[in-house]
Amino acid sequence: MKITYRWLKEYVDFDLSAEELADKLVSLGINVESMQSIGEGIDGVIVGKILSVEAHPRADRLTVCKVDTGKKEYSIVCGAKNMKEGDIVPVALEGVVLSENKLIKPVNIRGVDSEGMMCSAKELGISDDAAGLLILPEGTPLGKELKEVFPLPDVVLDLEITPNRPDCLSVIGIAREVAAVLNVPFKLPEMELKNTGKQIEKQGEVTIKDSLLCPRYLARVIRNVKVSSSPFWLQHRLEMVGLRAINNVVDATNYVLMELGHPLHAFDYDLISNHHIIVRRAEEKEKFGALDGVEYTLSKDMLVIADDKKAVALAGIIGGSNSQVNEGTCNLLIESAYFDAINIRRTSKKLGLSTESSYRFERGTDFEMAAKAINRVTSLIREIAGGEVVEGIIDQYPQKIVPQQITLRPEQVNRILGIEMSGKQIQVLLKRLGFECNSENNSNLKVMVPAFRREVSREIDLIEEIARIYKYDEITPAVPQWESLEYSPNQEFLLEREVKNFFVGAGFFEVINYSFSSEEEFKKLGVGEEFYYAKAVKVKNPLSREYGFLRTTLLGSIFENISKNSSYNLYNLKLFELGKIFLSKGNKLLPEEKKMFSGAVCGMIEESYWQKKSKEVDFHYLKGVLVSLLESLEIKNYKMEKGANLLFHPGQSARIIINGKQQIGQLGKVSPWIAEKYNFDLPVYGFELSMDALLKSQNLRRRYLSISKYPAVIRDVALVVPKEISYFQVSSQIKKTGGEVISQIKLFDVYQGKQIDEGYRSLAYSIVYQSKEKTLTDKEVNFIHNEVLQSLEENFKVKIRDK
Amino acid sequence: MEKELEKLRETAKKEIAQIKEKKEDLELIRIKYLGRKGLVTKILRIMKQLSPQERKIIGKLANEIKEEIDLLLSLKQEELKRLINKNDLKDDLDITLPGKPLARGKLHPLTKILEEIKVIFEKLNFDIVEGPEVETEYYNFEALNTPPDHPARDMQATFYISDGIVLRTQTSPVQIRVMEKNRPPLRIIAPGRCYRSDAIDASHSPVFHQVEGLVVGKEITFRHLKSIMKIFFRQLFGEDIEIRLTPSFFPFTEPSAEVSVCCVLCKGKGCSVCQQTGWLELFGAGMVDPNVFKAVGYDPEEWTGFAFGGGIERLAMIKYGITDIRLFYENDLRFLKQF
Repeated sequence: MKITYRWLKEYVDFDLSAEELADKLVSLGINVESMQSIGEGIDGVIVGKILSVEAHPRADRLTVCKVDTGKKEYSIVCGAKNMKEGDIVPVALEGVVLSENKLIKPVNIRGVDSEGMMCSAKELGISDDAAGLLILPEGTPLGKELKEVFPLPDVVLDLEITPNRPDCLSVIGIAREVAAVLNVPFKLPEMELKNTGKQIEKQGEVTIKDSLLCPRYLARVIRNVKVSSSPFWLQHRLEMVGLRAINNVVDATNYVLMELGHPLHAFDYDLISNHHIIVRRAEEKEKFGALDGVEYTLSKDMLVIADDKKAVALAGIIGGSNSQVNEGTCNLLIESAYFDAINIRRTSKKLGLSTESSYRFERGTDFEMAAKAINRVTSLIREIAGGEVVEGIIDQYPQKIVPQQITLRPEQVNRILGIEMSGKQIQVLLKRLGFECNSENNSNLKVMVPAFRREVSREIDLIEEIARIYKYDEITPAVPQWESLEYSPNQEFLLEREVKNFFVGAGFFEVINYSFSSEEEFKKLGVGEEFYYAKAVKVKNPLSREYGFLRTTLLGSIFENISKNSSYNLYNLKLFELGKIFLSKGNKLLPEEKKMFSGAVCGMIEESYWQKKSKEVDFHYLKGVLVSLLESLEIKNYKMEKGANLLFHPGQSARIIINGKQQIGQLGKVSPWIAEKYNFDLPVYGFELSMDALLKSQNLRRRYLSISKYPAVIRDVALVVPKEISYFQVSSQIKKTGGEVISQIKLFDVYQGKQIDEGYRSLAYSIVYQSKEKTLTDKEVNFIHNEVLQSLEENFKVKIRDK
Repeated sequence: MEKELEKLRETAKKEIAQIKEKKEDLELIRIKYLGRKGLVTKILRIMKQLSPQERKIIGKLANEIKEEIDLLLSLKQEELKRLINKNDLKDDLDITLPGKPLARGKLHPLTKILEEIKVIFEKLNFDIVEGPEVETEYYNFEALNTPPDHPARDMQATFYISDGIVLRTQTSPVQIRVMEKNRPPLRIIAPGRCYRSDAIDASHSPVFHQVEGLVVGKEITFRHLKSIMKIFFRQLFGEDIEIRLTPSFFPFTEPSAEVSVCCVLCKGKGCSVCQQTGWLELFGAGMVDPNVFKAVGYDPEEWTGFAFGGGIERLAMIKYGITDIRLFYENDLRFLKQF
């Protein structure tokens, strides 16, 4: 909400600059989003009248004007088009500094002397309107300084009012706060209208059919007004606070709305059938043509203002075009009402229609202000649009609102705020905010809530008010002296740290992607794949199609990261993400949220280096990283089974299985048909691990195993193995046969080609024999080693190479 | 005799000092003085002829000189070796050639700052907890004193999954889940992802991270809240940073406050980052509203507490000087490498 510095000063006298005022407002909880100076270039500018406009002899686009400032005539060359003889305009003569530091001096423009300049609103720093000269109202006294005629310069403050402070949605509301914090009085505008009588009862009638939704409705009638444009100062003030000037009647209601915070509406009295206002619920599917030119279809939970034939306004939100004030309007019916906040909010939401009026009603208005505001606006209309006010006022008030009373315990104030304040001090502070207190028989206070603070309904609300006016800055911090609480270490977070740090050490970069996915992404990853699509959680109101679902795999976005980085010529990529995937359990239940650890690699294993060329990543590189991770987490009973889901190349992928049956992840080369969709330049390898499974199977409680004191004997052997026998089978057989005496098996070469028969390959092993109990003799080692070799031959037809 | 010996010492010292290159010269000097027929040896040999008193003095001196020459010779020998080494250029390297790069990755800046936050609160004896990202409206709003028709719902543009199920707009529902399951006293922080359907721009992201804090106990006051905020922001941004609490509104705290720190970029003078105010609003905070306690079955007459929370991206942006929130989610390696 916007207010201006000068406007505010009309109601509260303070000695603060705009910046100091802004600081005070922030300390009260009213954030100042921006400040804008208006009319900075106005100093020294005077009012002049154009006596003549003649074409410039040597320039088509310019004119030469004679301007009278009351004392003297000046000749001014002008580029604007919108003026005519007789117009009153702002004139800047020699020495004046306009907006943007533009200094005025006499010049000669193409052979014609120009003694000054006539100004646009922009040149005066009043608005951005640079389209033509600012034409001032007729009758503005010539020769006067512009700042004497108009309340300028001024500063517009754009305020952020939190939902709990509807009372601050007006200049008066802010004035009340400023007065409270400075402890100075503030004044309301004149709101008494010495105009009573019963005349009105003959000229109009109000019937409230739903007093729950409309507890109070006031009306006045003004006759013989002259609808035209508002005086310049009023138009300008509305524009400064972001409202458009329409005509003097509508502008007056808007002005009072901004001034007092109470929405008002003016109907054309003669367009209200029988001059009878009926406040009722809308008919189901009732059509209503609003002032904004839109026809709305209403439902019966909405409240309308009607006459006995038609709806003339959507209560508290917008007026109807069928009863709007227009140039021909002569008589007015002014409405000032108090509506139920929740109902207005629901209607506004349902119709997607928010107005200055609905914004205030749905936050809660002041039921006492309703009566004052109607008098204020009536006076203002009489002042600027003429007319006679019909004697008396209609005040239908079937649901009398009782002011709230709250019991406040001073010790509770101190218990929450941690300060020492007496009941007396509290009373003084609350009084400044308009809350009257009485002491009850004990130390408690009985606090009367003013009508403009309807949302203050509990003791805690009062405590906040006390803290606010006492000032948060005055409450000194105190280090809590609390007893220490014991927590068991959070294994999940420890694991996350461990896993992330492991991968960072292995050269991976952590990425964080949106949790969203889309139909397009599911298609890229394979629609046929049940998992990625069927269980996806759909967002009802996504920002765009791109974010229509929650993701069911992290790999989709990681693949996007790969192709995006490749487009920046970054090809050696190792990325991982730790985040949640979401699997639907039906529309009524919260989905399953599963933490996954996923990643992808491509390009070289290491950055290129002048001594040694690096190798490209491949399946076994990635496998090595994952196995090292599993081993560092002491997960021993894992195995890899060939093949993974359709994301991966069937011959170059594996499922990671623990305890013989549970799949905890997968890895492999990304399928060529998917790689193509992501425009991968290089082969990409990816993996997924379930964090839950890692958490359950990790063993971070390490146990020391004694180191053998006895020497180790190493036997290297090259085995010629039939191709269908896997490394895993051979190694398992070696271990099984050798038993505990084999302390380590290491594969150091794989070879096939020359010297090796077709259908075979050579696996070269280093086998380490070592006992924990004694030194093994050559004889003993030979015996076991031979047994191992024999068993390999028997089981897998393995031969020994070169022997 | 003493004089003779001193003279011997001086000449030997001089001769050793004069040796420039040849190792052989060292040996010659050793023989000259300490050899079987060497000058010092000779003197030691004739000791028997001296009176016991003289023997004592001369013997001591002669031995001293012998040891000194020995030491000087061996030092000289080291010196000669060093000299040779220095002049040997066979193994010379171009040490300006690049070293082998260590292939280390980096944590995402959001993880880094979150780790810092966790460590600060762990030291303050807070537990770290998490909650679901897809939430019921009850946990995300109602239990947090935000009924369906409350205008405060407009403050947070919400993604819906179905009626009653939303993507959480804040980490605050974790407060409720924790209080439902535990009895006070409590001290937790709850970091995590949140979602709001704001249009994406330099300062808005539909997915973002928050950290939430909650303290419940006996005699917890607003002064404690101020203190914890001060400790936290000073640890994060530096010991001398000023913090300020100003009134604000959140449905689930009362009194509510906005926590600002003196702009770390302009030191409070006013710049574009702090919108000329000199202050950066970073956290929302306040005393737990009694209605929230009632929703979880705590007696507000027995317990008091405070809560606080804010966006992690904003903290990281300020700490690292990042001007566009979208950078966090683009995962451009040229960005990620910098942290």
